[in-house]
Amino acid sequence: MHGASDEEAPSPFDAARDWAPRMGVFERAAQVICQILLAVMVLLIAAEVATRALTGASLEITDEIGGYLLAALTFISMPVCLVENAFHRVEFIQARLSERGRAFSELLFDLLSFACAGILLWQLWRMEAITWRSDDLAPTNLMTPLWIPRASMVVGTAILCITLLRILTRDLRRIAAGGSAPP
Amino acid sequence: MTPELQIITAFGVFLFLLAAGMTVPFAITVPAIVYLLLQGGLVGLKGLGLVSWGSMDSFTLTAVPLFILMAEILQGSGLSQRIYTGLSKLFAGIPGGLLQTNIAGCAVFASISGSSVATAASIGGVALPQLLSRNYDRPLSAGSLAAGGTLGILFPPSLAMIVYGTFTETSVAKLFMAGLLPGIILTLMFMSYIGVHAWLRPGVAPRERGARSIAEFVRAVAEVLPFAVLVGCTLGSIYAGLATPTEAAAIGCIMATIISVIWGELNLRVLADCLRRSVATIGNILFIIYAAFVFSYAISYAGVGEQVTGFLVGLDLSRWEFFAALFVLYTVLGCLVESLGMIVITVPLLYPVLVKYGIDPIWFGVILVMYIELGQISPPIGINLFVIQSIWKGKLSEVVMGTIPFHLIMFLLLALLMAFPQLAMWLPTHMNS
Repeated sequence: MHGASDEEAPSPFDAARDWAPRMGVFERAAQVICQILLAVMVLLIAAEVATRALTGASLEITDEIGGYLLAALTFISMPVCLVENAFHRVEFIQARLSERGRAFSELLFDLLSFACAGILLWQLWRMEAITWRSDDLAPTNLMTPLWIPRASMVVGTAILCITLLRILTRDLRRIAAGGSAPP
Repeated sequence: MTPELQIITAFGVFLFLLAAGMTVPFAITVPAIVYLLLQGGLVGLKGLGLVSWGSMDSFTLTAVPLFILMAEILQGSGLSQRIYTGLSKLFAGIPGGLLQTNIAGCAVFASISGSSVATAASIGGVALPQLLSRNYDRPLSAGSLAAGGTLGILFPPSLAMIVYGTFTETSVAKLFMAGLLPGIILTLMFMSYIGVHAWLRPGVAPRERGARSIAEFVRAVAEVLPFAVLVGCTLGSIYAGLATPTEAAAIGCIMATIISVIWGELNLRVLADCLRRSVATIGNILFIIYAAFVFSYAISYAGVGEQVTGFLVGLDLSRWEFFAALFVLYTVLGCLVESLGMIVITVPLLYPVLVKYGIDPIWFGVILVMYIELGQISPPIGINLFVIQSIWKGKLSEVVMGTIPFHLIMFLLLALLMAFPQLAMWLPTHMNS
């Protein structure tokens, strides 16, 4: 993955990096939430092991809460990865395009990604509304109202859409500048 | 559009978007949604919400972020440098010198990281400057690190095996154990090759001196000991049936934190950095897994899985012909699709076929991981090639040339695993459940 240049040379992606979006309020909040979720996940599961080793009894909530934390982490980390350029991509065709060609292809990819994220948000919102109306509860000791953990998916995808909108704006400005570095 | 044409279109769009440079998770999700729309229109999308929840509300998958965090803590606190320093005293005396340390270091770091990229980056970052300053053969130096890094997904805790186990509902603990012996064999094969090569062509690696006294030897062992304890506790607890892989990962995180505070440079600021970097890695992997679940749902929505299974079974291949077909498929895919993508796109289609051919899913998991390892050092998109090149700032062609002998060794191990499945199956059949 990543660039495929054979010699040490200026990267063809330098100009693209100059246009990379900065982390906004939503993405920064998402990043902090993800760090907290990860820390809670470690402590919860470690507490389960310790409790079982010391008392022979289980906390009985670890599997359930662990699953909720993972779902939340999956969706809330999406916008963070997007602005941090953490998603893998194959760049050997991109590296051979002109600045303008790269700018147009980025616009196309980001439009497709936005459409995709929009459809996911629509469907996740639909499910959240149905869960809310039907008062669905988890079939566990906690009897968690399922709209609470499922809301994390809607929130994460909504922030992803906002991030993609910001990136699309950047793409248009980049094309207007002819694909070169920002002034 | 006929169903066959629809599935070909979906895969075609996926490969096109991937090759053209779209980010991997979106390159999987977009064709999946297009395929659902082709199949059922807007009604086809209605299951997306429940599929999203059902796939990611998973306790098994929580092992993925925890193992990533554990490796990040060890890497962030500078402990990969200590592994390398300690191992260089223990292994540098044998022919091949620091090149042997590369492989041993990768094997040790693989046992705590679960990721090929993390392994190649951690050991490569420490080793390459030393190798170049001491005039080691450039292609062999880079090749040993790129290939050594692939051990990251064969040794437990392998992230690839966690994902495979989740998709196939196979025991992750058994998969971990199945990868251990092949991982050790592959490490020894890599080291033997380097030893013989350095013995036949002494110019590729200068003679190094190992530990010069017992005190130095003891100090070197002390450098590696914390990792041995960490690996022993995490893997030992899984093997003994005391903890699930997820629980072992959480304990591993706590132990890694303690070890890093005592022996490394871990403080609150470094820990916060580790958490921040982990979130970026975790988000990428989890999104790929989620995207694959959506793709898998799209395929099953149309019943294409059954059609593909029926077609493959209808070919009436012998077991060896089936393996030969898999060999061709994964060798080609390995050049085009990144590691987790290979698992998540092919396994839902191939898994039902395994049952028909009487192939053990645990054993197949190890074979699949071997294919993925090969893909990680295959041009044009083998990710480890680029990891090493980015640290080295040298020629990609030298990295590629350096990995060719290691490719051949991996093919040899694949053949051994196919001829002697017990190499992978012996440990899982003897572990406590």
